[in-house]
Amino acid sequence: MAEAAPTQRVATQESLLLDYVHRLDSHKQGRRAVHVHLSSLQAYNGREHHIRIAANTFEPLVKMHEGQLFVLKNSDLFFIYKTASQSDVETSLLKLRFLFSDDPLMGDEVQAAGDNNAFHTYYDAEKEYPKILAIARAMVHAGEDDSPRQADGNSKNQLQKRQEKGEPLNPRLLGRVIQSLQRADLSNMVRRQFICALIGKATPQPLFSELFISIADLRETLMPGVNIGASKWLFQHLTETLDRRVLAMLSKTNDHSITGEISVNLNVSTLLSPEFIQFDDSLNAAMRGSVVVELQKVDIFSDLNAFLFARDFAKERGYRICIDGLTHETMPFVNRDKLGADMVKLVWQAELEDKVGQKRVRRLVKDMQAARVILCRCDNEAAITFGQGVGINMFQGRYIENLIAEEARRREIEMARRRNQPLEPDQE
Amino acid sequence: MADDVSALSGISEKRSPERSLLDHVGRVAHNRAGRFAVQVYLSRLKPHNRQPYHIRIASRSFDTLLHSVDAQLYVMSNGDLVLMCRNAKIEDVDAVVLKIRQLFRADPLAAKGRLPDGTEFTRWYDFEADFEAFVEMVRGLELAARRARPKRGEDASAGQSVGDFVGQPLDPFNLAKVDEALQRFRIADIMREQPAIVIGTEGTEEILFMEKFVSVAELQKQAAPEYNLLSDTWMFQHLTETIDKRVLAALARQDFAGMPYDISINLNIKTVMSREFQTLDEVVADRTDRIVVELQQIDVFSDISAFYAARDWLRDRGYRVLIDGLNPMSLQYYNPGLLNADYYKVAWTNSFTDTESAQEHAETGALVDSIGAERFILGRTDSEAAVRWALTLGVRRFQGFFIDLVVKKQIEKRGGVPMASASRRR
Repeated sequence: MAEAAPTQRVATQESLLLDYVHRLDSHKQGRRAVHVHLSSLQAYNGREHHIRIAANTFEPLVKMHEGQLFVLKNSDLFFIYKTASQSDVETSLLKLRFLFSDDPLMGDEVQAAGDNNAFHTYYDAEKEYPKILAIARAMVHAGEDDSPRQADGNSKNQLQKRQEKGEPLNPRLLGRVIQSLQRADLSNMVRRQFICALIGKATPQPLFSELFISIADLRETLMPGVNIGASKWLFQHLTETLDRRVLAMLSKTNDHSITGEISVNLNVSTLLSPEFIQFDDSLNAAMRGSVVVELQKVDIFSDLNAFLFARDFAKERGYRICIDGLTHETMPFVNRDKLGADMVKLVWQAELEDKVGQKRVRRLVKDMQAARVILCRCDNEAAITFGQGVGINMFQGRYIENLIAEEARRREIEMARRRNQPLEPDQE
Repeated sequence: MADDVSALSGISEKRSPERSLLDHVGRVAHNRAGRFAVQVYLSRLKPHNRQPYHIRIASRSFDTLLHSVDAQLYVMSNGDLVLMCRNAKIEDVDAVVLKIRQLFRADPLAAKGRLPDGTEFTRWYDFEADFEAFVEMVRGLELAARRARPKRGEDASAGQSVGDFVGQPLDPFNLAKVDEALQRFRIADIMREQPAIVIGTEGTEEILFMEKFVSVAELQKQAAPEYNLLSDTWMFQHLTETIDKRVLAALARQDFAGMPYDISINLNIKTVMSREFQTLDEVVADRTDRIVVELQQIDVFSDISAFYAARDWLRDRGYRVLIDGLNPMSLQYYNPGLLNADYYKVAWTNSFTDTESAQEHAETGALVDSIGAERFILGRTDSEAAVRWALTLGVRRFQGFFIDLVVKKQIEKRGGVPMASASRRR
């Protein structure tokens, strides 16, 4: 891990754009520019592959030397082209509008692709050169500024972007990480989050707690500068190693903080491994009933037969099964009842409210049986309000943790007050 | 209880489990009253149902029983389970056997308990009557185990369902080596093609497309003979990303205008979004309607948003999208039609259809109808039985070894004239 990725000082798209615009000054006749405001799209439309597809739309024109494309840091596209290609550019923009037709930015009204609107702005290089230059300059300036572009919201996007940087996870790095995992002390990377019943405004009632390894901590400790997300398959392999370490830790634990009903994330392959049998041996029958095994949907569908086998085994021994990581897009593929899962977790995303809508989500939740759905990654009150609105009563996430902490503080104060009433304050 | 612990761990001891069992049998030879044994023939299950983990977990089904009665369990080298009991209730033992049958219900033998040819899943031995038969059986197993010993071990059987895959299992470091070897490897040499055909209502056959694929067996043999490329699902998936890029580079030299048939290629979603695919896209130009892109279900479910984006882009460009990696069982669990692809390829496995109930078959039929039978392709068609199974569902598109033979015969019959293409030329 010693050889850190070289920090290259490559020319940014912003500086290339500015350079190009400077040179444009001498031959701006018969040229136009269009600024495509992809940065204004909803987060769910602004993922890396969306941007790439959008940029590809202009590729044929670039190939025919009809124009030059710049993909800016904030995901906006800036395309400078020959006026003769106007209709091709409009066709490209129509395609993009179609691609993002579900985005509120597109509005409902029918718009001509040749007009300016919230999605794109045209410039005539000859008449509006100063404007183009100003934008290019502003972009260079903004591109240098690494501070989050919006204080709230988009933090997930930012995080994702940051993670996408760095040396991509490759087999050798994976091997080294797995080697260091054998020695690493994982106990300080274990996080615990409660799954709570939350009805109306009542205080959250903890049902069980999920024990998991913080991937962010793991990355910081064992593989700083490595982009884990670069290979989902290698990451999946890594989780198998993590599973075994977590099981080993739980089998040996004398840690009394790990009590009560817990859930752990496992791969199907781990459920079928000798390590799980050892873990199972370390529990008594009563404890098994209080352990929830969380499985990922991709793992289930990758080998349905193995899943069914593992599920029968786990349930027979008293474990409960939860399918983790569902979204509104994947829920329709999960027949909870038939898969024999006791619970499912739906990941909270703002788009559930903005894009999918209450009606559809309520339907999906009902199909799963609302009482068996946990809304997870709830980081604000809006998540809870929305969840309750669609019939969900079980929640997990940072917001819930805050509620629990608040409740604990409130109780502490209450206790202190009661203690202090009949007695003199303790002297410590 | 100490006895059963040593019996269970006997697997890893130097002494074979058969030997331990024989010793035990010897000790009770003069005290047979109330004793009996049951043999569970896990060795008779289909190979993909008797991986080491299956055996391990099945053996655990006896745990409760072992704790409550005088009973010992031995796991034989061939995977069979042998339980010896004294004064145990038959019903209690039978309940466990039933549980194991339930666990293996995807296997025809376990599902039915007995095959039409009389093969049984279990055999009971009453020591007062069948003691000699039992001893003889164990001796037979011991002999077989001794002969088979050199080949044993979990590693050698990890990739069992695909017979030829032997070699060291992959680890990240040798995966890196294989990755590098692939960079230098001439992939075009091991690219194969296999036709998918449409059987018309009058029994006429036409080629739907030719699937271009890399023979993994050949790849392993030539590029990484010492490793078992299929030993780990995720590492193999990683390799397919490397393979994709090499395949795309090879395909870029293809003459897309002069192809006699439409073609299909297997790709990761990540590859579809890559620059390498954009390069191919330029070469293909306006022939995109002649190409089917096959995406794996596992890839689709690992990031469904990426799949939707890739699917929309591909179809917008004129490509057709096929979802590969389905099987008759997955059709029981979800509706692939929700993925809104052009084709769904269902891999034929008779182990599932052997245990399929009439109701399940009817449900699958209804699902196929609702999605459109013309979107389904039966893959790995290896027999007439497979073709018949699909035809009862209305599926008329096929691929597999059996189909290769059909195509070969057709061409011979026509004196070498190639088969017609089902594609509508523009």
